[in-house]
Amino acid sequence: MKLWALSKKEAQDILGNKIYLLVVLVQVFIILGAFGLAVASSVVSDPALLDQYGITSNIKVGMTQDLQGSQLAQDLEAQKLKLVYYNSTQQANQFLGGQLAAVVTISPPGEVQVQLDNANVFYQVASTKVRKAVNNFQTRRILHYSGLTSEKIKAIQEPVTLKEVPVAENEKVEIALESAYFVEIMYGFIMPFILLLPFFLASNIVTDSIVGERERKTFEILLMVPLSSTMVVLGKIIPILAFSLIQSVAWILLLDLLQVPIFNTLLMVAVLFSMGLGFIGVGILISILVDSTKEANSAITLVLVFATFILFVPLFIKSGMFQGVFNFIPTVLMVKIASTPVIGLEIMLYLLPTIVISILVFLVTVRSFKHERAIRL
Amino acid sequence: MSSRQVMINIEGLSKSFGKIQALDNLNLDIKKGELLGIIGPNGAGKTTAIRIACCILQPDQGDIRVDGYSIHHDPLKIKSIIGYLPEEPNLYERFKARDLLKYFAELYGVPTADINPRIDELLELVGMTHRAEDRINTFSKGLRQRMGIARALVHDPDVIIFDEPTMGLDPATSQKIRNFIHQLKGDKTMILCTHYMDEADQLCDRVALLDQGRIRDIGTPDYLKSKIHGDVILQIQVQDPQQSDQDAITALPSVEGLEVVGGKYHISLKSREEISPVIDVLGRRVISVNTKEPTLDDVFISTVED
Amino acid sequence: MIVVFNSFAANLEAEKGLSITPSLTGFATLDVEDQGGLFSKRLNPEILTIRNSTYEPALARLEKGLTNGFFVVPSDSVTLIQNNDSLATVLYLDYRDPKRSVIRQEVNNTNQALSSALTSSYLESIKSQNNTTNTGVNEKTSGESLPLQIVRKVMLAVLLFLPLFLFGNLVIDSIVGEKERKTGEILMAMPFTSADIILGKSVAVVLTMALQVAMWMIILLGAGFPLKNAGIVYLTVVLTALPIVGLTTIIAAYAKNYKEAGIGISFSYIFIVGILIVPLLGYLSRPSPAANISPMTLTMRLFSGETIAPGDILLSFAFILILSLISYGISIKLFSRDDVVFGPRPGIMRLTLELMGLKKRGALK
Repeated sequence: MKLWALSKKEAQDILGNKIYLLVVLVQVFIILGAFGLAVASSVVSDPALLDQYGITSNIKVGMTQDLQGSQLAQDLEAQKLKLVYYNSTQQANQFLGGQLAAVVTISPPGEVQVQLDNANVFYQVASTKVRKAVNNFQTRRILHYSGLTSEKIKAIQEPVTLKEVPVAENEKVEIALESAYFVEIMYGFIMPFILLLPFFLASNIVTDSIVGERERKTFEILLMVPLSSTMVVLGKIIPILAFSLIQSVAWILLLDLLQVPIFNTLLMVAVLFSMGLGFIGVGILISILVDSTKEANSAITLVLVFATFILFVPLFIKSGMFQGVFNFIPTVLMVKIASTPVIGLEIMLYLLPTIVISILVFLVTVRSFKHERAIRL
Repeated sequence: MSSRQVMINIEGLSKSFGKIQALDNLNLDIKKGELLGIIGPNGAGKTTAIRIACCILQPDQGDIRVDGYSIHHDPLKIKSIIGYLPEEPNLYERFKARDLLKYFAELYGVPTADINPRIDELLELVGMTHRAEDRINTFSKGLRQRMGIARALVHDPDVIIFDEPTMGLDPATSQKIRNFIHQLKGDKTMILCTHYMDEADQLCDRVALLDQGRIRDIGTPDYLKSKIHGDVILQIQVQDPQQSDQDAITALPSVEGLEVVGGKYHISLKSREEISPVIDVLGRRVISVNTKEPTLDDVFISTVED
Repeated sequence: MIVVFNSFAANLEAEKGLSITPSLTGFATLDVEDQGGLFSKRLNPEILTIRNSTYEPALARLEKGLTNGFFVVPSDSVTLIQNNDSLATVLYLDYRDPKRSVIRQEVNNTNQALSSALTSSYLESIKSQNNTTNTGVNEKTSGESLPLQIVRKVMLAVLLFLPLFLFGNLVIDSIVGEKERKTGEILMAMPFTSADIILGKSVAVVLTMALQVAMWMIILLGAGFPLKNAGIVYLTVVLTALPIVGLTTIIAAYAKNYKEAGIGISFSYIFIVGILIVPLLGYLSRPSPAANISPMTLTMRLFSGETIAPGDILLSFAFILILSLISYGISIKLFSRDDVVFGPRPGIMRLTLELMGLKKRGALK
């Protein structure tokens, strides 16, 4: 009852904070923006997707006039590249780096010369496609003289074939983009980033909670209320933790809508809960320890930079030495949990440190709230 | 009065903040239903003592028992017995008056059914019924102080502590606040910290003089006043003051002391009957005569100056 | 930090391909049946956890979701290759798992790498028999790779401009702090105009920034960063500080407290960084003179040692000058209004209209 009253009041304070509500809204744009960026960059670096969306025709390759209609030109066109013809190699080279992604010519002795513009947005795709076309051209030219059977030629041109057999196709999970890069960037970075965003925000908001009351001189009456420190700290944590979790769950639903399905939602919420407890606990701890809201803001910024480092760097680093430690990093666990439909029970073991640390943070917060230092009036 | 039960018992209380000794072996008993005034200069340790009693601060040494509960063992119990009006009772600005009281009533665990009647009663007491639905941030300092008092009383505490309740208020509002306190007198045990001696004089059963963390003196206002001077101070302005006048006046048996302040004689007398012999000494040279009763101000100044 | 950055850039160069993909190490598992061992050896264990298996147990595991895929290579793969025969591989892929495309791509890449290796070795053998044609390919690349340019030049440019964004707090503290501590009243009562106060405080902050930028540049030069035209680069960066501080003073003049100012600053700095960086990125992909409107573009061109037309420099400087005039004008106007400084504060819309002269102050809605 007492706790409920305190929580209700804190919740009203949070909801009355227009800036907080604004930032909550801004998150939606961040999510949509990050999603769009992930889609765009996946498409740009994936030849198959570029073909699918008909963007390949924007990659222009320069050739000399005399190669028009040649076998090489046909091979390049087979890769859906757009060919532009010039009178001379020099003339074509002038446009390289501008509108041309590559210039392909054949030198008098019959050597194929390829010049690629490294700075082009589509460099990777252009490079792959041009190389493929030139390879096909070369192979055909050699085999032309070999006198092998057409079956052998095919085997030589494509010595390894791959057949894909879908398993459980009727339970297929739809993904916004069928691209490895997209899946990696979405699950491996954007998903944990988005879901933790509300907690970053929360720890920022919550730094105001104690030091703000002290500055506004309302703290003394709060201290006079017959509530134990644990209750007061809980009363401050519960509302913001609830709001943040609601946001996180909303973003999970939004990701599902965007066809980035999040698996094991309940376990995810549990992970988010304990991380949230940690984040918010640290925010309140800072609020207890500092002298002014200004100081609190600087302190939480530092902490969040540090947290970002700890939580997000392991997602990008492949390190045999640290891999064992990385397995315990909650963001790494989030990636595992969210992207795997069937998760093993050993994940609980890996979650243990996260839970223990969160609870420790909470206990330290309660403890330092009791401490007189927190009560400098 | 001594037969009454002791409500608050302060024993050997010491507290220091770094090098500053805020309280130095403070001992004090406050009886049930008593209104004790605490006066003392800034930094005397008044607020520290109160905060320890309210279990906001921890003492270095000593104990306070409120209604038998020790601050070391039952802080929550004590907190629900005490109603405290801090020196700067800033209230949550965005609340409406009624909601603020309701919020604190819930925090103090007042039974739900009792909350609304209790709030109505309190709003009536502090004369805020007509502003019940207005927000705190629209209130003047005086209104806020009234809300602060209502808030302190929301859980019907047995002990009420006021820290400078009339500081910075206009005389009319101050008087109103004093009236509230007067109304509460009797069934509640109260502590009143103040800088205003007339306030302590007007309201308190006993007054404790606190200085440098110690009680310098304690007693009824009359007792304290009687300790420094006689009953009457006579202020006389004369034409052409002479040393012989002073000798003659001090020779009078009822005269307790004489000072010359700005060309005026300030003479302390045991009783009013002694006025005419003094005037007789000075004869026709007297220009003006004033009498003045000693106040707690005089007590305060003379004690602190010692 | 600089050292880390340097080695990172060096690594990128060495690695050729720039990988900014998060590592999903150990997240996807692939069962493989490959007795020849040709394929399983070449699958990247940093992307997939490889597990040698056979048909029955692998499919059972697949069904239970214990593995994400099963890759089957014919058991006689080595013989097939020796006979120049085509090799048919099969990939069973769990469509319930979103990571299927990761596995598909890795298997595809492995197949393709083997394919092209095989093709070229066949071709080699044929070539030695026939020895007729010239088949050389000469591939050249021009221009620095885009990701590397972004990392190198943009990061350096951002590093140079970083100090300008670190000292916003100083401005906030000196203006909002006065409001919060109620010392502004004393300052306003002194014989200064609001222009004196705003400009005085701004000059102090800009000088601090100038000092910081100078120290920063010395460190960068000392760390071996190629910074050409250091003098004019320095001038450009310091001049850019003017409108940034100007904008900060507007926020400080309007904000009621630190919290408001802090959030205002965060938003407007994101905006400013956008104005600075977007033309720069645009310039990298397609140089156009208009990109010089951002002093960051100018700075990058300067420290890369490009020759720059005076018009480009002028454009940049003119932009800085105009923005400075506008921002200081607004903040001085704001600060001289008692309702903004002491409240009750008018809304932003109303204030904008009033500043533009479209509405008279105090006029009723």
